[in-house]
Amino acid sequence: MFSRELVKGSTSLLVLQLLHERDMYGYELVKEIEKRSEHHLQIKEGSLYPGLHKLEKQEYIEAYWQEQEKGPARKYYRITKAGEMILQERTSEWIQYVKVMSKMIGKTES
Amino acid sequence: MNEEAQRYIKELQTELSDQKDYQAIVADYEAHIYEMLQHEQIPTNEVYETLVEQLGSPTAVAKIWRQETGITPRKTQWLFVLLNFAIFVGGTVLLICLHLFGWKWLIQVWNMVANIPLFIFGLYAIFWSLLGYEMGKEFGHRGKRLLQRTFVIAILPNMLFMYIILSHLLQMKPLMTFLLICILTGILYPVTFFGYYWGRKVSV
Repeated sequence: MFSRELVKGSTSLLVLQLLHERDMYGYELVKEIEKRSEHHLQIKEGSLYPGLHKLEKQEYIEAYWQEQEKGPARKYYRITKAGEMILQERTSEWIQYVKVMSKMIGKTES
Repeated sequence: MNEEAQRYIKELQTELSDQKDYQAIVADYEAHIYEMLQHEQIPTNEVYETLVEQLGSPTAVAKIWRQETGITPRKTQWLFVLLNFAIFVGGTVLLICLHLFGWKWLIQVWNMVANIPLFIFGLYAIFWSLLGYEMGKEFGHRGKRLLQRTFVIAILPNMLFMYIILSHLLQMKPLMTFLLICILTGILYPVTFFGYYWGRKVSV
């Protein structure tokens, strides 16, 4: 399990990445993050919605309701063009950061 | 939905009742809980505890929402417009007092300020870059439009103030005054946008 602060700082990026692949609803996002990280990343589900609200306010994602055959309607989220752009920027920054960190830590260990 | 889930939602509703769109917020959690109950095997008598564990207590959830909804585009815009207006009013009051009363200490303050125009302009530029940074960080892509609007609203009184100072007190020619104001405003515009792009980088 990773530190809460580390996970908190990267949740928005993970959400944008998942929405870049396909539209998802809140519960699905949480479970997908857990599944893909093999349960190493567990976000507090209650804080997901304020986070989604912020991304919506920033115009990086938008929401729409979809009726279901069974059960209540689901609120789906999709990424916007601006969201795609910031995702690309932040992802390359992260990749660069991880590369440098791996190099540094790798050096220290050897 | 079982009784324990209803209890959680009711408590959440009460905690969020001070929020403008609390019904929409609660609807999100209701849908989330519905999915949880459908997909996870939660014993009926442990639903409330599981919800608190996975979602957080209603009080904790409401606290996060209060932090999120506390900063709105309108509030941020007017905060900066008012701060800028305060600078304008401060300068005007200083000038009026200087000419009406001619207090010694005020003349000294004025002379000091007049001797460090670049420093004053630098401080003012920092104010504008901070404005851009906050808009970018908090409102991301949307912050750009908000910043442009705020810039236009906030800069007008300052241009007027600059005009009064340059043309009347320093007795500069109208064309020269106009050009200088354009140059100073032209410098502030990229400064504030530099702040915006910096802030946008940390918005996600």
